[in-house]
Amino acid sequence: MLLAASALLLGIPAAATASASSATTGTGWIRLAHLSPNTPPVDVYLYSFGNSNAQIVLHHVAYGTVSPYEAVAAGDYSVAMRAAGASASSQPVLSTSVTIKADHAYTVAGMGPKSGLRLQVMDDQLTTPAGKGLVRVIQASLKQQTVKVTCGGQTIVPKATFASVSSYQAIPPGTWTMAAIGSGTTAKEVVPVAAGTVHTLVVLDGSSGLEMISLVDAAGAGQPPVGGVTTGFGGTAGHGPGSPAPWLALIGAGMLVTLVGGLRLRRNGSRRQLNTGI
Amino acid sequence: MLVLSGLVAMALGAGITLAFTQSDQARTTARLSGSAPTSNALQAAAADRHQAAVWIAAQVAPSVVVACDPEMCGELTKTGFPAGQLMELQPSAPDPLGSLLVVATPVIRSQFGTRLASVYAPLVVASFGTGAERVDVRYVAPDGTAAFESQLATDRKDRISAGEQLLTNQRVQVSASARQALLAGQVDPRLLVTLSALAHQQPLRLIAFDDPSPGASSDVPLRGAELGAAAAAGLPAMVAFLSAQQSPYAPAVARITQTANGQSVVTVRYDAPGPMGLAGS
Repeated sequence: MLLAASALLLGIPAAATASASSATTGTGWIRLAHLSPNTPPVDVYLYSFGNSNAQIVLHHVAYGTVSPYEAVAAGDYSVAMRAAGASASSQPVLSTSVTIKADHAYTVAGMGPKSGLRLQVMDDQLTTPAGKGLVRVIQASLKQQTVKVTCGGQTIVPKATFASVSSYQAIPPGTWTMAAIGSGTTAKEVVPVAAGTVHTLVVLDGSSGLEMISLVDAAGAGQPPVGGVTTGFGGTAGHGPGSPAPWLALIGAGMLVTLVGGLRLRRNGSRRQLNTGI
Repeated sequence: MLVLSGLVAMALGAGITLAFTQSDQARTTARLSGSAPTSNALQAAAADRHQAAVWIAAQVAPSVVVACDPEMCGELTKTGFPAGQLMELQPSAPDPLGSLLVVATPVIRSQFGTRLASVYAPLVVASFGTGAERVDVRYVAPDGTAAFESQLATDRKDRISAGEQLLTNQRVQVSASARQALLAGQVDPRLLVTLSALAHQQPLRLIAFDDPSPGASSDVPLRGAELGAAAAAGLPAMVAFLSAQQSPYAPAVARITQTANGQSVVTVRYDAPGPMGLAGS
């Protein structure tokens, strides 16, 4: 289990094998994120139109949490939310629907302030121009309404406004220092960008200033996503709804993190803890 | 001599003015008598306007902006539709853009001609009366008819796909007529999304889909349904789930009703008009 978890953390599981099999069965990927700073934690429900057994539930998803990618059968899904810890009699409230196409990946994120909370469906790109990596920015800092994002000192998004998602920017391979620069605060993240990889930078409100996390949307051109690597929860490609793999991986990842004293996870504390169930 | 000439000129001017005035009156009289609707037609037109106003007040979401001629707007106000959501179209208005619905009375049809249907508002969502006096409620396409028709086709395709998937859900039992509606892409996407989630709460029966929109185009999805539960105790839970939803999934009506044969069902209905592109977003 630990080996599997560490492999997932490194983003190098048997992804290619999983890709081949899932592609033939019409599989896409979806991950869920809570990026609304002043919205309390929520439980998120993903309902398949056609399969009454296919139901993903993410419990207690707090601000800054991004789930791993889940492999799901291509098709239509409705997404609902409920306040975390709400009474059993309270009803999940539908927020959006999403059509998952085979071999496509999606991020469904709660965006905006609590008063205007919306679930935004993003079509995550999985391929890149030849010899390039791709980076996009989700600006989820309410305290810093506008930030500038740089890659190796070069501006890639000059004005990322709150609750916005930039387009993907092509960048050369390399290990880049990404910076989100606000008014009097800067968050930095070192991101190794290989050719064919696709990354999403998420700018967050931290306890003291900005924070930034890096997600891997695609680990290589033509490969399925192994996202969430740097969030500490690893990728989940290659299993369908109902598979215990992601949750075993999650437990394994937690144990691994405990063993190595993962500084990032400790710093972010409970905000990144994800209690999930299917 | 000069005085006499002046008097003659005044008399001539007065005569000409009188002649023109009488001529105008005569034309006006002729126009009124020649093409004026009969009192029956006027009553029919008034009845059509009233029916349209009552339908809009009952069926259209109060947040929707409705364009109308002054007389129709007055009728809508009387029936309780929010005055702030009415866009009164003066005779000089170049188009109904800015509204989501336009009430196509004879005045509005005359004002915009064939462009009303071919350019601005291609889809009839409800119609009242017949012939020249009828009143249509039309969906306004701000991006033009071509883009609208393309979106309509995409929406129908998405609804068919969603309906087909719902039919494979083992917790959903479907009557023959409901099956037909699902396969034809005739069901409002709000219903499709809601029913798929509801089926995860409890098994349900889709008894029928309907739409209280007289004269609507076949491209307008059905936004009402009658739902059954495996046990009577399931009906209040269905209503609770439906009532908890928020826009755009909050139904206008969700209550337990009795069918003609005494069967208890949940009647659910969404406001008109349905949103474009909600399924398959």
